[in-house]
Amino acid sequence: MNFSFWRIKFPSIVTAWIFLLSLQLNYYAQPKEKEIHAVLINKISSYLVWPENTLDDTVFNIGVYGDDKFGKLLDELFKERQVFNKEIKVKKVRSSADLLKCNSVFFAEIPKADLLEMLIKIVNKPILTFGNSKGYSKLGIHVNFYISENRIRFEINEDALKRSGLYAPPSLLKLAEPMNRN
Amino acid sequence: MFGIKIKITVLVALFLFSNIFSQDTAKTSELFDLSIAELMDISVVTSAKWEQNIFETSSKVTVISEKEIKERGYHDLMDVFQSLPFFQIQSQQGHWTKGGLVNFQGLRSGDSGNNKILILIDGLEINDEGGEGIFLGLNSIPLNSVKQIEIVNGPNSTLYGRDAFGAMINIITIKESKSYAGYSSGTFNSQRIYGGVSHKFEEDIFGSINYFNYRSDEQDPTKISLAYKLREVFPDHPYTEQFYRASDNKYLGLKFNYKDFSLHYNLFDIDVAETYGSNPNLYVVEYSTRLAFVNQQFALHYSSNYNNLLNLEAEFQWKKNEFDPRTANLYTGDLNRSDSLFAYGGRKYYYFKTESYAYKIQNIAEISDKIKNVSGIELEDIRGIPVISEGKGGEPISTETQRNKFEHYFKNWGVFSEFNYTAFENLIMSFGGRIDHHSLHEPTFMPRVAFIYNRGNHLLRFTFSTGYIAPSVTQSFFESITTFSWIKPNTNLKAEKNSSHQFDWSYVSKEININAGMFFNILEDAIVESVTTGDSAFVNVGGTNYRVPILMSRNVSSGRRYGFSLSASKTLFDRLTASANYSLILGEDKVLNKEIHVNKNHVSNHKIHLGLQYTRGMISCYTELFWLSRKSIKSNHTTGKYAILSDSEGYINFDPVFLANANLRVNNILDGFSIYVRVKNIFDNEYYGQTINAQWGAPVVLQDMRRIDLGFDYEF
Repeated sequence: MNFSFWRIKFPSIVTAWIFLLSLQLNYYAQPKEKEIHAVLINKISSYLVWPENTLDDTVFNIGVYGDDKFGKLLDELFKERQVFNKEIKVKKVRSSADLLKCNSVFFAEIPKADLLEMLIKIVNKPILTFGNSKGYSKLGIHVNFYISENRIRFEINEDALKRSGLYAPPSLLKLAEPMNRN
Repeated sequence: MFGIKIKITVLVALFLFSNIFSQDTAKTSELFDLSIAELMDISVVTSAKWEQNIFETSSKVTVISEKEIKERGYHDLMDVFQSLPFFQIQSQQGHWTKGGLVNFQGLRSGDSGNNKILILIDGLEINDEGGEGIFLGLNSIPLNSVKQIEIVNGPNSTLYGRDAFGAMINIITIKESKSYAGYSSGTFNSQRIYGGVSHKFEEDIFGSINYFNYRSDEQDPTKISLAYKLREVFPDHPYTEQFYRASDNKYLGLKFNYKDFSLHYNLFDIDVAETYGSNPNLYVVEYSTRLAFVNQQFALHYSSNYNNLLNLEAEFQWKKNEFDPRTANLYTGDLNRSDSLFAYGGRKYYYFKTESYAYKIQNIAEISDKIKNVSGIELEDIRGIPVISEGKGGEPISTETQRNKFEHYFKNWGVFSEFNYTAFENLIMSFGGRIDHHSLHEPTFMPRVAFIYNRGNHLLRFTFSTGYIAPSVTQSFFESITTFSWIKPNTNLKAEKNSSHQFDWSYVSKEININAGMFFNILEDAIVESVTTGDSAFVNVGGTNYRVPILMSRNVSSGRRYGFSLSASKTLFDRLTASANYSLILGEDKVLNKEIHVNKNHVSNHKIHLGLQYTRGMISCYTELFWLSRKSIKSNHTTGKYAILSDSEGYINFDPVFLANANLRVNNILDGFSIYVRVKNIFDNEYYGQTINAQWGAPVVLQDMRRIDLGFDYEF
């Protein structure tokens, strides 16, 4: 090998690294998909208009059905966060009784029959539902995340939202996949 | 040697210290500061056959978005490559490719095409299965319906097989409902007409049709070459330094998805003409020719996610690539020749065709939260016709029967598997391998091992991978060069091997992105085309025996490539973004015991690229500057007219190149209607690339002079 490379370029490389190290910058991590889901759950919940007197005075309960790991992530991320100036509590959802205690629920990928069984219990209740599985929107999930062209997108089932008494402002609907609004 | 080890250790330590001392304030919580729209703009990049965050990929991936393609005025892949570190345009004109040869990390493309990189459109390989590379040319692939381009550094043979030798490009087209149309017109009678309709009928039903036509005289025939005007007859002497070429490239792409099934059809219909000097020693003077490519690809793809362990994909692909000379090379003086050698074979030109059927099945299994695996099997059935000598008095001599008589068959099958293991939160390891069995050549094993460590905004990645290129149909069966008619299998050839070590560090933040990379590639069994063996044979042509030299391809070269790159992009103000990159490529090839530095083999050691993007309201303006250091190539023109181009050691020297491009775009003047003006080579600098290798053929070719294009887009 011609090692003149090291002799000539080595000082330049070291200088370049020192320069890079000296840069004091604000950090912004490249997030993972689930982290973005978590933040979107927080944001979208705040964007929606909720029926009067449906939210608890102090706590906004978010339930997670079928993905405990995601539940832990939400718990960690929402520790010092708020929705409508209310503290966020993350709960595992195991039954329909648990479901009814939530303001918002995230459904992981579960059998279709199980999902329908759960959704039917809250069909007209102001409980916001999220999912990230193909076809969930059609089944009645309010906000369903998916990936398109390596970016996270979401579809909104407007009819289901209306049935639950929730209102999505046009600015939010504009960001959702238009095809799936109905 | 000891000193070098210390220096390497210091470098590694610096990398590590950069992590230790960095204030680890990287928090997902900062995502909460972003708007929903901004959150939706964060890329979760696809690589390694499953969707991955860009911080988890086994090899470095650069993503060029649809927005960047438009804002920067990229018309084709050559424009994209020119802005990236380690890529160098070998020649905008190529030889057989008729549309650009590129080298990556000093891996020169073969004369027959871009065979060191693998190009995919929506995951479908468009490289020739017969190993001829992408001879349809880089300016034939439209970028108008592209959502993003992913450039993967280093070999990807472990997952994609033999052609993913040096790098891989995946062009991902739009999948949303969108229609567009556009037109541009510019210097050298250039025009581009393009349009497409994509429609999502239902959630699982999608269809699209895209059309693209690029026509250009490429150079001004009245200034550059009178020969073009006479190309339908024979060029008059002397036009040796003059060059002219014209292109008419058409593309049609069809895509239809129905639930888990998708159909793809790509048609590249290319018609080109060129006129330039040839080897005055071997032949007489210059030639003018016209040829056509018709490359077609049809694929049926099935993909279904049954459960975490079974995410199945199956694919059938048919490909037919045809290289069709419409006229043979024409030489002044040939008109009056009546000897039988000329009468039999005429001047050199080749007709060849490959047809292939490929079958692929793969499964992606999420074995646990920490372990993922992709495994698959591929079978390729390839047939090709011999390289048929063409041309008699300017006309092709082969009949339709000859053109459809496939005489060369070979099969290749490969199995691959790669595991991705998240060892702990910040460390991902991937390891895998692929074995290929080729019916003509030795089997190959292509492993890949990668360690990806990310902490906060920092990423460290080391990848060892191996890439192979199987000998092409041409290399496997092409022996005689004088008449091109004496052909027998060249079965002793082995696949070329690239053992690649890639190391990169990235820092990604909202304000600045920085990447530094190093690579060290060991090349073995590199094939050198047309190496004189000293053998000769008698060939009987028209009742007369001719003693002709035998030239053939052989594995006679080995080499090394190593280098360094540093890239950064930073948002200076709200509306202004600057990007810069520098790359250094060093190394040498050993051909028949003679060592040649890459710089003496048409590779610039240094490349600098600077880009500036300004956006305000409807207006976006992009300016880029790039500089490539000098390079040389050995010429065999020791006597004759071209000898004057060479230095005392017989090298043709290419001066450093400095070029500037600009693109101004006004978006949405009316709803969906945008206009743009693009200027390439603003200062009209004259610079040269090579045609075919300088040993024979015209050694240098004038590259693009200033080009101005005005155009509009309409999205509806």
